[in-house]
Formats: sequence, C-alpha cells, structure tokens
Amino acid sequence: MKRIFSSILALGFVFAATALNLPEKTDKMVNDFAGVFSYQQVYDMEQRLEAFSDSTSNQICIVTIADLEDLESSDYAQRLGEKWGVGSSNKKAKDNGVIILIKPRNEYGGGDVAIATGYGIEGVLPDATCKMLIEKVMIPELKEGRYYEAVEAAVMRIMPIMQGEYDFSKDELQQSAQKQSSGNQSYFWVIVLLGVGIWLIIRFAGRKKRALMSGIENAKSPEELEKAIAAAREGKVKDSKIDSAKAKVPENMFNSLRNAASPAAFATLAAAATAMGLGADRIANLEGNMRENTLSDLRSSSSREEVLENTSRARAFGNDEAAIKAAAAAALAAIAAAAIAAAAAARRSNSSSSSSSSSSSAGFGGFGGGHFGGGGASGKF
Amino acid sequence: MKKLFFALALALGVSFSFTSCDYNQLVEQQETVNSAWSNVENQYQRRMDLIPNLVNTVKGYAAHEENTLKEVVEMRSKAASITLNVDDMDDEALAKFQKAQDQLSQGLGRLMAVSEAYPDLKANENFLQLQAQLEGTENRIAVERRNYNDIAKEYNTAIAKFPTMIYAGWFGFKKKPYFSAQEGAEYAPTVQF
Repeated sequence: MKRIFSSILALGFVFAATALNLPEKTDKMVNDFAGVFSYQQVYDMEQRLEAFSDSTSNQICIVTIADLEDLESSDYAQRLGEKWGVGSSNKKAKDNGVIILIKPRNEYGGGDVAIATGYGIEGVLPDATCKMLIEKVMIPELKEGRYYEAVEAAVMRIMPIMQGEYDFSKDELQQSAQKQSSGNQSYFWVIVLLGVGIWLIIRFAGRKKRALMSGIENAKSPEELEKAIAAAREGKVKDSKIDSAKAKVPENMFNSLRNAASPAAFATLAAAATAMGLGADRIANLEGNMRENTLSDLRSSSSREEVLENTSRARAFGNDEAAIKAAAAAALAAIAAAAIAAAAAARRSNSSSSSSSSSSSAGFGGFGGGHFGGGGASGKF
Repeated sequence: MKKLFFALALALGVSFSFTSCDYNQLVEQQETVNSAWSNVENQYQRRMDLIPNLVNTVKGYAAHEENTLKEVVEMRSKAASITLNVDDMDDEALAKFQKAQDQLSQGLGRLMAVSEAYPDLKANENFLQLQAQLEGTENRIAVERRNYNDIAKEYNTAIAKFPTMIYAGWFGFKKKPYFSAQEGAEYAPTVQF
C-alpha cells in the first residue's frame, strides 16, 4: 500500500508538478515568508544583495518558508529558482543565480536548509562546497536559531566565489543583450516580400486598360469620346467595360461644368455636355447657380494660389467686388489659422516621441531569467 | 481571368511556404528533445563516474560490506551496458534503460544506509565529498528527467495535432517515450552532524 502511494506521489513529481503551491516571485532578493528576520535585517540584506546584483549581475536570493509541501529542500529550492528565474539569461553571465532556502524548525517538522546553484554557478560553487557551507557554516548557527547570522555567513563566503566567475555590471549586460536580439527575421522578410509582390501585381496589372477606360470617362467632347472608344476597342477592352465607362461620362461632364473657369468656358462645355447626354434642365439649373457657387468656392479655398484663381473666377461669373473681397479675406484667415494649428500639433508630437525613450538602468530590475539544474546541497537541523 | 490565375498561384505558393515552416519547426522540436535526452544521459553518466571512487572509499573502512559493494559494482556495469539510440527510442527500450538505472539507485541507497554504521567512514573527507556529489547528481537526474518529459510532451503533442499529423509520419517524426515514476526508490537520508 505504501509502495503504491509513494509511486503515485513520485509520478506526480515526475510529470509537471502543477499542483504545487510555490510562491509567486517578488523580484526581491530577500523573501522572509517564514518571518524569521527582523525588518532591519531584511532591509540590510536586501540592499547588499541588490547592490551585488547591479555591480556583478550575480543574484543571490534568500528564501525562508514555513512549509516545504512534502518536497525535499533541494528540490523545492531548485523549482523555486527555476520558477522565479533567479540569475541572468544573458549569454555573458548565464544562469548565475543562487538560492539559499531555509525552513525553520516549526510545527511542520525539523529545520531544513538548502543551497541551490544555477547552471552557471555549478562550476565555481560545486555541490561539495555547498555541502561544506551548509554543514560547517550555516547549521551551527541555525541550530541556535540564529537565522540571519547563518545566512549572512554564507552570503559573505559565496559572494567572492561567484564574483570570481562572473563580474558584469547591469549596463554591460544590457548592451550585450541588445546585440543578441536580431532574432529570426528571415521568415518575416519572406512574407513582406511576398506581400509587396502581390501588391505590385494587383496595381500594375491592367494599367494600360485602365488608362484607356479613363480616356473614355474624361472625354470632353463627342469627337474625343469617339476616338477614346475606338482606342479602347483596339486595346481589347471588353464591351461591357466600355459601356460602363461611357455611362460615367455625363456625370463627369457635369463636374467639369461646375468647375468651369469662366462663363465662356461654361458655354463651350455645356454644348458638348448636351451632345453627350447630360440633361438640358440640369445644365440650365447649374448655370443659374454658378454665381453663388464660385463665391462659395472662393470662401473655401485652401491655399493662396487657390484664392487667386477663385477670385478671378468669381469675378468672371459676375460677383460684386465687395462680396469677393469679403470671401477672399475669410479664406485667407482660415488658411492662416490652419497653419498655426498644424505647427502646434507638430511640436506636440515631436516632444512626446522624444520623452518616451527614458533610461531604464536606475535601480534593481528584478530577476533575469536564470535556470537551475539541481546543483547544490542541503542539510537538516 | 489571367489575374485570377496569378492570384491563385500566389496564394498556393504562400500556403506551401507556411507548411514548410511547420516542417522546420518539427525539426527544431525534435532537436530540442534530443538535446534534453542527452542532458539526461549526461547526468546518469556523471553518477556512473562517481561510483568507482565511492566503492573504493567505502571498501577502505567497511570491508565487511563486501556483498553490498559487489552488488553496486554489478548494477553499475549492467546499467552501463544498456545504451539507447535517441532517434530510435520507444517505450520498451526506455523502460529497460530506466529499470537498470533505478536498480542502481536502489543499490546505492543500500550502500549509503550501510555506511551509517561506520563513524570513521562518515568522518572521512573524501567520503563526505562523494556523498555531496552523489546527492547533487541525483537531484540533477531528477531535474533533467522532468525537463525531458516536459519537452517530449510538447513534441508528441505537436506531431499528433492536425494537420501536422498527416505528414509527420512521412518525414520520420516518431513519438518519443516518457520516463515513468521510480519504483519506490527512497534514497538514504543525508548524514547529520
């Protein structure tokens, strides 16, 4: 019965132990979950370890926990280190994290202590050294309940050992990390080029035929229309497409009439328009409105050149000087106001983009994603 | 009409390039599984390398325990003789491999338990070092086995999913076996000071 039970238990450990309740990472180097340190001790050790991390990139993380959840202390420490990512993932200082885990003597059982080393520290801090630290340095203190002293003694010895292996400041690591991030861009570019190719094909396919069709649509006289239709037929444009282009002609003629530059031009276009199918009553209606139309066009001009053009146009269509002057002034004022607003918007977007690139190097940035392979040692007290 | 044809051809080409992405991903995943497997093998090998030294050290102090020592040596050579080809692993082969290694674990456990009775041995620096190394190696073996299982699970899921499952077989992507739970191998508790 016990054998079945223990093998079921072991099965749970062999496959991912998702039922385990490991604490979430705090991005702090000292995590006194069991409450055995004083506030001052936590603060002091935190300062020291964060400074050590900033100046050498090595991360020593202290954890005290009340309950090991049926795991061995070395197992728990390895899983915690892996979950929190203590240590750096940068190639230069890879996996340089250490976890010191203490479970004090309490209602859950006797005391346990473990030192778990990241892959990158296993070389300089081998299992035998960790065992020696635990048995000779930490356990004598732990047996007397001097938890902080035990941790301090271990940390003081571990720091120079780690520094012997890795000694990179955070800025050095950040710079080398930026170089590494070029990543797998080859697929990205393949897709981009494919997309560009597709777009180009769609755009340029049938350019010639579209030109012929627009020749029909924009014809300004019956003779032009005939020529354009003939050219389109030669260019193998389908009849259905020719017909639909022809259908657009009256409306286009109406637009040209609306934008006529002078009454004389209007008259010429009007004759052609009638011949090409634009209704006579529509033309007459438009003619009647042209004086007001040109005045409102002037008022809504959007550049100085347009104002000049539209002024002579309005004059040609019979507006009186006073009205023209007023409309032109209004237009110019609007243009000036628009220019000021645009300048202000440009200044605002410039300043916001430059302020977003703030520096990120100030302060301890948390754990760097290091990995733990099960190295280290453990002991009981 | 011609435009439609072009567009279709282009779409087909793009979709093929995406499925070739899938193949490449399978290749990458398989390599990850292989490297995870070689990590496991490395840790087992590390344990093998520790054993001769351990046996010799214990022999110096606990010559009476000849039987236990002989057992360990035998199991070690048995475990060393079972090699696995990572490309050709199946459930059976891995089960055999694991059984041999687990038996070795049990033998080592007995050896450690027996050593408890010899205070001179327990005080020997070399023995303590070896013991620490052995504990560390057992930890590492457990970690790498767990990693391997996780990675193999991802790979097996990927080749079983649709549409990858259709062509995974053509290219020779086979399912990888898992490590199962150790049969009640409780390792000896650590020496206390």
